[in-house]
Amino acid sequence: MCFVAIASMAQTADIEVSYTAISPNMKNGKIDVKNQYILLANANESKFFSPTTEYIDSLNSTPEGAAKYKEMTRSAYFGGKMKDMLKKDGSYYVLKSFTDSLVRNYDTAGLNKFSYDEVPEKWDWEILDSTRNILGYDCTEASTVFHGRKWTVWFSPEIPRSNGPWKFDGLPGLILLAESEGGQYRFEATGLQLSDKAITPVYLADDYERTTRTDFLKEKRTFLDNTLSRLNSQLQGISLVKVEDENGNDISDSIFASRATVDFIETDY
Amino acid sequence: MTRLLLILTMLIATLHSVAQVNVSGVVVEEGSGEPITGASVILRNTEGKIRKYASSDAEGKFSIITPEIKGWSLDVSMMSYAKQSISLDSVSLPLTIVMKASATMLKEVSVNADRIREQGDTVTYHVGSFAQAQDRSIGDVLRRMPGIDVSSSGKIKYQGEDINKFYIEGSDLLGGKYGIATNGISHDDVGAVEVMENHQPMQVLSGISFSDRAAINLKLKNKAKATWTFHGEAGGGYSWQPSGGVWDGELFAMAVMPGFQNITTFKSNNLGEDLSANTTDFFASRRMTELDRYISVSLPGVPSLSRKRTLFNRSAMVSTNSLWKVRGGELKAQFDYSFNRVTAKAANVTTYFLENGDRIVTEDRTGRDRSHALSGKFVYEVNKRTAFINNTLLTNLDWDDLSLGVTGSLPNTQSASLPDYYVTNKFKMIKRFRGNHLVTFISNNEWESLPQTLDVTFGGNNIRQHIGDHAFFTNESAAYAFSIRGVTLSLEGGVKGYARSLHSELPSIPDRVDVPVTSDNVINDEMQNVLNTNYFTIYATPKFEYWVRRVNFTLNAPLSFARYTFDKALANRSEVYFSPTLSLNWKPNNRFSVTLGGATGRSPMNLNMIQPGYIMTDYRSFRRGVDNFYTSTSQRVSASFAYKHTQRGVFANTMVMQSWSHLPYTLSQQLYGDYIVYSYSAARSDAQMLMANANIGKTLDFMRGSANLYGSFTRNESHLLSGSDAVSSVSTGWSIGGKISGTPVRWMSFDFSINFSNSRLEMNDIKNSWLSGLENSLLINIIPHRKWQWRIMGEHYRNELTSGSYKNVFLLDTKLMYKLGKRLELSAVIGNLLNQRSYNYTTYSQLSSFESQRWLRGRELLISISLRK
Repeated sequence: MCFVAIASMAQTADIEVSYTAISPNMKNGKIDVKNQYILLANANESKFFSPTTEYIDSLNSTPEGAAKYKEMTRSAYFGGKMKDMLKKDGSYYVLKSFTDSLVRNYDTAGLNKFSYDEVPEKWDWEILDSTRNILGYDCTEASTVFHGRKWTVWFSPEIPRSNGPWKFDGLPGLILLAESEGGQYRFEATGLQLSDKAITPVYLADDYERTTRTDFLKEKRTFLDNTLSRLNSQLQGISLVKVEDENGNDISDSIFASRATVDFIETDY
Repeated sequence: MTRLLLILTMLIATLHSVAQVNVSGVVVEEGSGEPITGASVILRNTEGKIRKYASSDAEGKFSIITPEIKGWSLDVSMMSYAKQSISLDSVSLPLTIVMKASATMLKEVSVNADRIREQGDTVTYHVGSFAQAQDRSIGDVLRRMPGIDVSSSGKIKYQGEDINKFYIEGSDLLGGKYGIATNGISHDDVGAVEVMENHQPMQVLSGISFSDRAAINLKLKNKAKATWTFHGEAGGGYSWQPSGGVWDGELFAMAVMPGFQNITTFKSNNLGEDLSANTTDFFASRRMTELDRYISVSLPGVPSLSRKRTLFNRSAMVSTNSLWKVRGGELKAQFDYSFNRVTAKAANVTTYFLENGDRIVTEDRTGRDRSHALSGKFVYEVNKRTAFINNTLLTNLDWDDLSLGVTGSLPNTQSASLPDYYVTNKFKMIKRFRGNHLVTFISNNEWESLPQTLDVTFGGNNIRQHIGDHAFFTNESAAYAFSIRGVTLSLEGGVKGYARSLHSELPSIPDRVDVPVTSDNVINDEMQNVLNTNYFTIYATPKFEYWVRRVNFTLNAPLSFARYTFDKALANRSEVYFSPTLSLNWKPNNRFSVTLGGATGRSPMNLNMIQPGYIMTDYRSFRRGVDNFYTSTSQRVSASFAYKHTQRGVFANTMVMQSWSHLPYTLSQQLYGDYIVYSYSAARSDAQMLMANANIGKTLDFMRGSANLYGSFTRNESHLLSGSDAVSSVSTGWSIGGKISGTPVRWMSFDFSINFSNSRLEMNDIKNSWLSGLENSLLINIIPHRKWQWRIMGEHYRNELTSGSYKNVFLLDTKLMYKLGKRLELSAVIGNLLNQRSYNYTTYSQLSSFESQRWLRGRELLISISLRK
């Protein structure tokens, strides 16, 4: 029911904020993955998404668009430039509805798409004394522990919108910077403007399998730990046997780093 | 006892904690009194630091428990309302906060829109970022986009290679005549220009055949779509040379609807604007009828000045292009008509290089060329992944009448009538079977007629010569291609047939020309040509294409068997030809691309050269063809390299090519007094050519501009017969140039370009000196006020006529524009402000050198008004 309700509410945002999301590389833990995200929000709802990914999803949602995307991919593949195909950027969407008290997440684990709902977090923010200027706004520091990580964020009361990047909100001002302890995950606002863009629903929403938060994170971990067997069982007709790194060493059993080296943005699963 | 103490302590503690304040209240809107939900409520302590916060609920109510409020303050804010700050020292709780609506003031930091965005194979340029104030059409802006080069004829190249398609909103309305769009569509109507690299225009070939060319797609702004857009311009004025009135008018209409597109253009001027770019088909393939005019008279042209300075014309053109999307395909119809009347004046000194003393001929030429051209094209195309069908019916009718008068050492008058009638139908069908198998059928038919008439009055003689030349060509072929795992094999086989007839008659030849002809009025074999040159060919062209990693490898091996029949002129014969070509393209990543290529082959001479009887080509030149059938061989190797880094806006490319050709005949010239007779004789003649060029471009984001640097080098070596002597000549030339444009301050933009070239001719090891030429031009556009624009343009040419002596010419133009309203604009132009009326230059050809003086268009004043819908 809620699903349909959100889908039919194509409201318009009044504010648009662009963020750079920095996260670690799951292969070796190096903090070198950068994705572009945008937050479109109004007083009742918001959407946090990666524009390039949404563009590709929107292409794939119509037959003409899918044909065009396939053409682009094929020509890149046959030209031998697989690395340079139009490819997706950040993998998730976070849709918040304050009127319905619902946070809906869309994300991928391995090759499959999943969606899970959460109730809005009862935040326990500790407001600290430090201030800092970000994008021309005076921001106050706050911190909390969220799903296993300690986060330090900077929010600006000058922008009276209780929202922020990813799942963060609940502060009396827009969160412009959020960083996890150790610096592994970080969201930085890079631009902010008034907007009247529509908050469109997620394209191909039916392709996402409904699950719960912990099941989703467990599935992600299983894929990273058993990549080859997962791929082989899913992609019938192909059998991947061995993976080598750039020096020729066989890393079939450890394509991705273990949980001890680097973990997801939420570690409590 | 201790327990009681404990309870008491706890009670006191609780009592103490109960002494807290409940800062509560309701937030309402001023005027209506409606409660506001989601307002941000912040409690700040005496130092202004945030201590507690809440947000108003569905009834506008909030409640914050805090130990004390002395010296504290409350901030209530909400988007679209003015912030309220209240000191809590002397207020009564609960509070009623009244919020006044006001526009939300945010310090906006816009997300940086990159001017160039790259996605896989498509590079997108944002037009607004590249357009300068002086730009009008989208062609003016395309020139600035790095990687894109628009030549003066309107032809577009990307990274050094011609584009293979020009789309408007994804549809190919104009085909090769995209000059109409680049010159006509206003840049204001275009949102972005997409460059699709490795563009494969035929969907049925996607994934199977690699293309190294790019295509351009104009993405229009919404205001220009699904509606007719018009703009028009009309102007009149006065010119000092040629003295008289001048005019310039233009009407452009465009409609881009989902199922229909149309562009209609009308232009006319007598201001020196060459309208041919609007009707030139840049994708036209070479005509297989292979007819060439024998008569070679033309107006004197000026290679190194912009044509606008020397074109004395009256021109008009009208063109209409329509596209309809029908079920499964597209239907296109194009009609063009153009009229041109051009006059020219020049003074020449021609020096023929001879071993025993040079021969000099001086000429003062005036001429008039009146031409009409009519063309019609109908295309039906189906472009799907399983099939591609295209049928194109094209007809080009051209009429060209020239009349030239020459005074000087050899006074004469000539008038030539040189029409050209051409009709062709080209049919192509490609079908895809079972995934990777392709079958192609082609049927091309062409017919062309080139009647030529030349009337000469020279040295007391009147000669009238008529030549009739027409040909029919047909090519029917089938090809089969399939690809497996990155390898594409294709085999094309077919037959070609060609039938041509030549008829020419030269009534007499001046006595001084001492060639073996009878001098009475009987026309004998040396004075006429009545012959047919036909051939029938069976051919097969296997092609092999392979991708491995990032390397694409293509081998073409065409093999053909031809049977020639020459009616009465030469003996019939059969020939076999094999001319393989090889190319390798390596793209290690999205930034680099390296191409290597080589070719070798044998090809027949042009059948035009079979011409046993003399033909008069101009008032003092005669020509006689070959006495035998010759084939030539050639080899070529080339390498090119391209680099691009779109985030940094850097584009670079370079190319080197070396070719060798071996002909079993040479062109020889024999002088009889003032007459020249060209003929061919059997001799081994070798030539080789080395050509290299390089180009680098960079966007200059700090001033919304770009800069380009380019250079080229050529070296041509050949051996010829002049008189009865063998001559080997080497001509070398190199040039470098650069251009830079930008908007350094908001009210001024500029465009500067400079080009320096140097060339030299060496004959039989005697080196002539290097002669150089320098040209530079600067355009400055100033916008002192929103409605006014002032432009000033200067061009400077410096030519070395003979070693050490230079000629400088400086030309200045200015333009003032006033925006009367959103759609109306007035402008006044003064061209050639300094009224420079003449220009000199020197060029070389293999056997001679020219020094000439040309007349320029003098000062001109034009006042015009332009309207946009």
